[in-house]
Amino acid sequence: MQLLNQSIAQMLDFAAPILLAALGGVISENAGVVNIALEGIMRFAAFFGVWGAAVSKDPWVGLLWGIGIGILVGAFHGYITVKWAGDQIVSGVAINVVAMGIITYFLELIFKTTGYSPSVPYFGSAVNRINLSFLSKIPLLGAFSRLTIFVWFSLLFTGGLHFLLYHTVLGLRIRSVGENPIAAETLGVNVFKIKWFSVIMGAIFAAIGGAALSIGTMASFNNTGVAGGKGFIALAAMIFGKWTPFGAMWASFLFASAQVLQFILQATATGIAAQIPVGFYLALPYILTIGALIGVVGKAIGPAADGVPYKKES
Amino acid sequence: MEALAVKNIIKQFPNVLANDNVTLTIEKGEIFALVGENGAGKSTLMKIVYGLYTSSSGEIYVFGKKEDIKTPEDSIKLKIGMVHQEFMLIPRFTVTENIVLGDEPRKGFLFDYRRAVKEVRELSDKFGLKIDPAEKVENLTVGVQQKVEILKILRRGAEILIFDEPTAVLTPEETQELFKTLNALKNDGKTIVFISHKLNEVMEIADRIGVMRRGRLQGVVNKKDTNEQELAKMMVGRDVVLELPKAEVKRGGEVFSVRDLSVKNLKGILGLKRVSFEVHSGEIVGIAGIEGNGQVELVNAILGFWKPVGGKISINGEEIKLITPYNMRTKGMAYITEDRKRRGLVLPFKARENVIMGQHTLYPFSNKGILNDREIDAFATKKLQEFDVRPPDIYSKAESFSGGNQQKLILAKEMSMKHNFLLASQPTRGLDIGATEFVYKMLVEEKKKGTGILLISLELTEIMGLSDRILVLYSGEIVGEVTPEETTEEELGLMMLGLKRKEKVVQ
Amino acid sequence: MKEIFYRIFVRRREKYWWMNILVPLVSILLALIVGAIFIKSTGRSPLLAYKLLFNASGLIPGPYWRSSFAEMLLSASMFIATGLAFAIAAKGGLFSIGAEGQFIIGAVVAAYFGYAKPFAGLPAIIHIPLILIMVMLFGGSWGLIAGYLKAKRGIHEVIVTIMLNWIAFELIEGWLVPTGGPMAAKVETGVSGTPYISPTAKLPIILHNTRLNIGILIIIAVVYFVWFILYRTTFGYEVRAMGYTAIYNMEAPKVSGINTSKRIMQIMFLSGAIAALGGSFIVLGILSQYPPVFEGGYGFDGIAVALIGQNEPVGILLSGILIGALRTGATAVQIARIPKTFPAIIEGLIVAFIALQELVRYLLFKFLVKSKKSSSVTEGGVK
Repeated sequence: MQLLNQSIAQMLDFAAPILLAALGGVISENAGVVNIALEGIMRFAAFFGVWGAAVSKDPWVGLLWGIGIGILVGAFHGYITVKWAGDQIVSGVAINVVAMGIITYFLELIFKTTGYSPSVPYFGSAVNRINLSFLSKIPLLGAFSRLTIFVWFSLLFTGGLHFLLYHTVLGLRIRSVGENPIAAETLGVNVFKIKWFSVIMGAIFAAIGGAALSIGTMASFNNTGVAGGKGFIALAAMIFGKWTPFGAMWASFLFASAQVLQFILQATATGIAAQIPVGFYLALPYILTIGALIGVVGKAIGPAADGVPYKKES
Repeated sequence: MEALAVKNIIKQFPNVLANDNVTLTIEKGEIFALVGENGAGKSTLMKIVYGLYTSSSGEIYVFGKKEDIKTPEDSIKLKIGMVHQEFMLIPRFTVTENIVLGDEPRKGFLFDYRRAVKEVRELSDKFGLKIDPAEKVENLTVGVQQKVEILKILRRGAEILIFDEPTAVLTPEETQELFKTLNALKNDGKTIVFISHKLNEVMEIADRIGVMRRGRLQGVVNKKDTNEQELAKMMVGRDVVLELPKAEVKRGGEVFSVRDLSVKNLKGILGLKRVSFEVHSGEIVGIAGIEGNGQVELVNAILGFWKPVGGKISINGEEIKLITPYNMRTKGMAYITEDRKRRGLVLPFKARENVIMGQHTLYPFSNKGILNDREIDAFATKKLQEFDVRPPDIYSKAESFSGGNQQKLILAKEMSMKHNFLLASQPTRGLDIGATEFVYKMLVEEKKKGTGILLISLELTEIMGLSDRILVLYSGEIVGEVTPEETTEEELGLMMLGLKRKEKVVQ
Repeated sequence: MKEIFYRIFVRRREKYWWMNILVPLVSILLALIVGAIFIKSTGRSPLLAYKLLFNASGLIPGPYWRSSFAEMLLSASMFIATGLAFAIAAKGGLFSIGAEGQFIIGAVVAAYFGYAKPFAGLPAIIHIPLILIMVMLFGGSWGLIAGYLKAKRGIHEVIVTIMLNWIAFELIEGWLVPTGGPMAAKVETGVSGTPYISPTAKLPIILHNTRLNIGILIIIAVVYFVWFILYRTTFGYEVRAMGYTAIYNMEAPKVSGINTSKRIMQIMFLSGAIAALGGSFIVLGILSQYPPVFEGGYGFDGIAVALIGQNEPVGILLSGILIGALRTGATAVQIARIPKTFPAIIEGLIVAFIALQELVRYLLFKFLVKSKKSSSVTEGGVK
C-alpha cells in the first residue's frame, strides 16, 4: 500500500510540469495560436526560478521570477504571431533556440558554472511541501499527503481551465477565435485581445511548469536534463488529450505513469528482468505512448483555425 | 425616410479599385437589391458599411446621421446586421452558442447557457424562424444555418439587414421561405439590402434595384420599371442572352454505372442508400437535390475518398474493385469540382504546374521521372489559350486568377486528359455570367464528343437546361427519374423535399 | 545544355523573387545589430566580439585561417544535413522533429559498421560507401516509422518523431553504448563508448593538415540531389503539391491521382536518411567512435538552419555554413569576455527575425518598392 501511495505521488510529481505546460498549450491553441515554444519557456522559467530563489532565499520569489520571464517570452511570441500574424512555428523555434543559448550564458554569468546551478531553497523540501499528513495512512488518498504545491497547481488549474473554457463567456470567445476568428470578429469579439490573453496565459502556465522542474522536486537547475524535452512531451500530451484540459491531464498522467512504471520495473526486476538493459526501461514510456496513439487515438483534430495567422481584412 | 446612405465611397485595394465613387441611398422599410457580376464591388460596399472593411474615402449615413464605422461592433451598435455569403458560423458550436456569441447572457463571468437557450427560443418564435437551440451547427442543413445567421443579427436589434448572396445555396423551397421571412421583416419596418446576381429572384423580391459594374454604380431603378433583360444589360454592358445550349446527340453505350451503392459519411450515418443508375456515352445525367442529401457521399465514393459499405461502381462496363482517383482516371474518368481551392487546384502552384496535374508522369511532360519544362510550358500555353484563361500567363500562381478563370484552368486540366466519363460537381458555382456560359458550352462540346456526363448541381435551371435525364436525390435515395420535357421546376422541388416520387416507368 | 539555357534565360521569374533572398539577409543583419546592443549592455565591446567571432569562424581569410575554415565546413556539413532533413519533410507538408534521433542513429550505425569484424578490414573504397548506405538505410527506416504511421493511420508526425527521438536516445545511451552493452568497447575502467572504427572507415581528408574530410563534398552533392529531386522530378512535383495543400488534407493532389500515402512514406525515409548521414559524419570524420557522452543538438538546430534557409536547398547550404561559422568562431569570443554560447543566441535572433517576416517584408517593401507602388488602378474584378 505504501508502494502504491508512493507511486501515485511520484507519478503526480512527474506529471505536474508536463500537465502545466500542456495546459499552457491547450489555452493557447484553443485560441488558435500554436506554441512550440513551451520547451523554451519552461527552460527560461526553470532557470529564472532558481535565480530568483537564490537571490532572495525564497522559493516563492523564484516562482514569481519564473512567471515573470514567462510573461515576457509569451509577449514576444504574441507580438510576432498576433500583432504581426507571423509564422507561429518559426517564432516558437526561435524562442527555443534562444532559450538554450541565453540560459547557458546566464548560467555562467551569474552562477559561474556550466551545467548545474547551486542548490537553492525549493518547494520540494520537507518544510515547503503541502502537508496533509492525516491522509497518509489512507490508501490512494495517502498519495496526496506530501505533495509540492506544483502538483496542487496542476490539478487546480486543470479544473479551472476546464471551467474557464466551457462555462464562462471568456472561454466561449476563446474557443470561437480558435475555430473561426472571422466569424467571431463579425460579432464584435476582439480577436486580437483574446489571442493575446491566451498566449500570455499559456506562457504563464508553461512557466509555472518550468519552475516545477527546477525548484519543485529538485533543488537546482540542471542545464542538460531540465526541460530536456519535457516541453515537447507536453505538446504531445495536449494533442493526445484532444486540446482539452482534462484530456491533457490524463495524457500527462499516462506519460508520468509510464515513467514511474519504468522506475518500479527497474527497482524490482529480478532474474531475467534484471538483465534487461536500462535503456529499454527508459524508452518504455515513449514506446507505450506510440502504442497508445496507434491503438486509441487515431486522428486528432484540433481547433479549426489553429496555427492560422489572423490577418484583419482591410 | 432614409435608412442608409453612402456618399462618394472609394475603396482601393492593392491591385484593384473595388468601389469607384459610389453614392447610394436606401429607404427605410424597403427591400433594396444590389446586383452585379462577380467582382462588381457590391459585397465590398456592404462590407464597408458593416465595418469589416474601411473605405479609402467617402461617408456613411445611418438614419440620416453621419457615422464613423470602423469595426463590426460599431455597425452592430447602429443596428446594422449582415448575413454573409460564407456563413460566419462555428460548426462545432451549438445554435445557441453561435447566436449569442459576443453578446452572451451572463451571471458574472459565467456563461448563463440556460438563459441563452431561453432567449434563443423566444427569438425564434417571435420571428417564426424555427431552429433547435441545442443542435450543433455542423449538423444543420444550409437553409437552417441561414436562419441561425438571421436570428443572430436580429438578436442584436438589427433594423437594417444586409444579405450577401443568400440564395446561392438554397433550394427553390428554401428561397421562397426566405422571401417570406424577408417580407415579414419588411412589414415589421426593417430595411433590407439584398445582394445577388440572380436576376429572376431579385425581380421577385426587391422594391428597388441598384446595379453595379466594375466598381461603379450604373444606376438605380424601380422594379416595376425594369425587367431581367434590362438589368442584365446594365450589369454586363452588352446584351446578354443566357440560353442554355441544347444538343441532340445519339446516346451510346454505358460509360459509367453504380449498382446498389451505399456510402457512410464521416458521422457514420448512411448518406447514400443502395443507389443505382447508369450514364451513357453522349448523355448528360443530372442529379438534382438539396445540399446534404447524398451528393457528397456519391462524389467521394466515386473518387475513392470514402469506401462504400455496399454496392459497386463500374466504368465502361468494368467493375472497379479498388477505387482510387488514379484507378478511376486510368479507366476514363475526369472530374470537375466546385471546390476550386481544396480539390481543383493547388493555389500556390503556377498555372503551368496546375494544368498538367494528373498527367505529369506521362510522356512528354516527364521522362523516367524527370520533368520536361519546355514541353510543359508549350502545353500550358496552348491550353490557357484554348480555354480562354485570362490573363494567359502560365507563370502566374493559380491563386491570382479570378474564380471564373480558375474554373477554366481546372477545365483545361481535366479535359486534356483522356476520358469518356465526366463527373461534374457544381461546375458553375460562384461563377459570373461569362464563365458560366463558357462552362455550359464546354459541357455540350463534351457531350457531342461522346463523353458521358454526370452533372451534380443545386441550380435547377442548370439541371433542366443541360440534362437529358434528371435523377432526384433525396435522403440518400433516388426518388425520381424524369426528363426535362416531362417535368417542371416545381415538381423537381417537391421531389427534392421528399414529397413526391416518380419512379422511372420501365419500358 | 539547351535545357539550361532555356531555364535560366527564357523562363520568367516570379515577381519580387529577390525578396526571398533579402528576407534572410536582412534578418541576419538585424540579429547582429540586436546582438551588438545586447553585448553593449553587458559592458563589453560589440566590435571586438564580432571581429573575434568572424575572424575565428573560418569565413574570413587570414592567419590560421586554414584550420578554422576546415572546422567551419566540418560543422556546417552536419547542420546542412539536419537542415535538409527538416526542409524535405516540410516541403511535403510534414513537420518532422525527428532529425535529432535519426542523427544519433546514423552515428551509432556508422560506428558499428566501422568497427565490426566482417567489415573492418575492407578497402576504404568499399568500406565507406557500405557504411554510408547502411547509415541511410537505418536512418531512413527510423523516419519511415513516423511516415508510415502518418500515412496509414493519420497519426500526427510531431508526436511520433518526438517519441522516436527519445526511444533512439534511450536505446543507444542506455543499452547499446554504455559499458557492458553490445556495442561497448571492452575496457577495464571508466566509460568508453564504442570501439574505434577501422582506419578504412575514416573519411579521407581533403585539406592537408586539417580535419576537413570528404563529408562536406558528400553533403554538397546531397544538396544538389535534393534540389534536383524537388524541382526537376515528378516526385518533387507531387511532394510540393502535397506540401502546399497539407492544410486542405492534400485533397487536390489526391484528386489528381497522386499517391500521397506512398509519397509521405518516401519523404520521411529520405528525411531520416539524410539526417542520419549527418550523424555519421561525426563518427567517421571527427570522433572515430560513438562516444560515451554524445553532444546532441544538431537535430534541433537543423530546424533553425532550414528556416533561415527558407526551406530551400541552396539556402540551407548557405545558412548551414553560416551557423557552422558561428559555432566555430564561438570559442574565440571568450577573449572579449563573452561566453561562447553567444553565437547560439545570434542564431536564435536570426530565426526570430525570420518569424517576423511579415514585418521585415513590409519594411523592405516600403523602402525599396515604394516608388513602383503607385496607385495603379486596374480594371476588372475584386479579389
